[in-house]
Amino acid sequence: MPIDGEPGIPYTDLKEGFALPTATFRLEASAVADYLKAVGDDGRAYGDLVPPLAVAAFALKALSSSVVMLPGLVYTEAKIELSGVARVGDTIKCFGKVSRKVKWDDFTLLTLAFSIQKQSGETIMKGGTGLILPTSGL
Amino acid sequence: MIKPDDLKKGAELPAFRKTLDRASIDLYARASGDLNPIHVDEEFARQTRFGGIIAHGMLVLSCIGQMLTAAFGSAWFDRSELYIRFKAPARPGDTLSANGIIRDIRHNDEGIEVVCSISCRNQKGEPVIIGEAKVKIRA
Repeated sequence: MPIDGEPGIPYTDLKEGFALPTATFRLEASAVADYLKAVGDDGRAYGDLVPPLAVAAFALKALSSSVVMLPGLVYTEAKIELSGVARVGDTIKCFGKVSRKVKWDDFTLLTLAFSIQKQSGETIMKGGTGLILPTSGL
Repeated sequence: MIKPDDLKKGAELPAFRKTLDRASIDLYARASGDLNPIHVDEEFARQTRFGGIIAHGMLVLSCIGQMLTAAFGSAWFDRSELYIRFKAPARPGDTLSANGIIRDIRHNDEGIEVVCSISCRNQKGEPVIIGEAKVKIRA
């Protein structure tokens, strides 16, 4: 995701109900292989299926790439509902919206709701994630 | 994978263990595209309230994913739910253990739904992630 100084929507512009730009990407075999290597998974159990947490990780990156987040943000919680599988070669379309934003003195709490479709239009995942962004001091 | 006869309330899912190191965190940063300096920049991370580099939340969550796969195969990829809270950071050198306990088994026309309490703890037993998984297995 863009860090402060790079082009993108400033996180300060995010308001409740704000829809993030739709993000689309293809599940490339190389990207999935890199993910599996990074998490220490040999992937033998999957065939060409892509683990849902890999899809979620790629999707969150794709959705947040349009937003300039402050460095140091961390996740607080996540809810994921799975309704279909993704395979290598699928084209994924991600939708995201700010469902909650609360500001305190030193940090901002953001909740993002998201849904993920594949090229058939089938929704394969939806959920939400909470983020804490430090806004003064770290 | 858990045998159908072993699907019982109170049964423990096979644990999944992983030791984090800087190399795996850096690999995950590149693979996921998440280059948040709190995960990759030691100098930056040292100045935060965490006092040093912490692992990506989604990297830690992948331990739970691998535990569920070991227990249920790829059946959990479809028609399942995960709800988790991140309780504490995981750091390079931490050994994580992802665990689950079956809390309920619900039968319906489509199959069964296995409800599990799930957690990921560090080597001190401190919870890093806690939550719940609902895995639906077709009849």
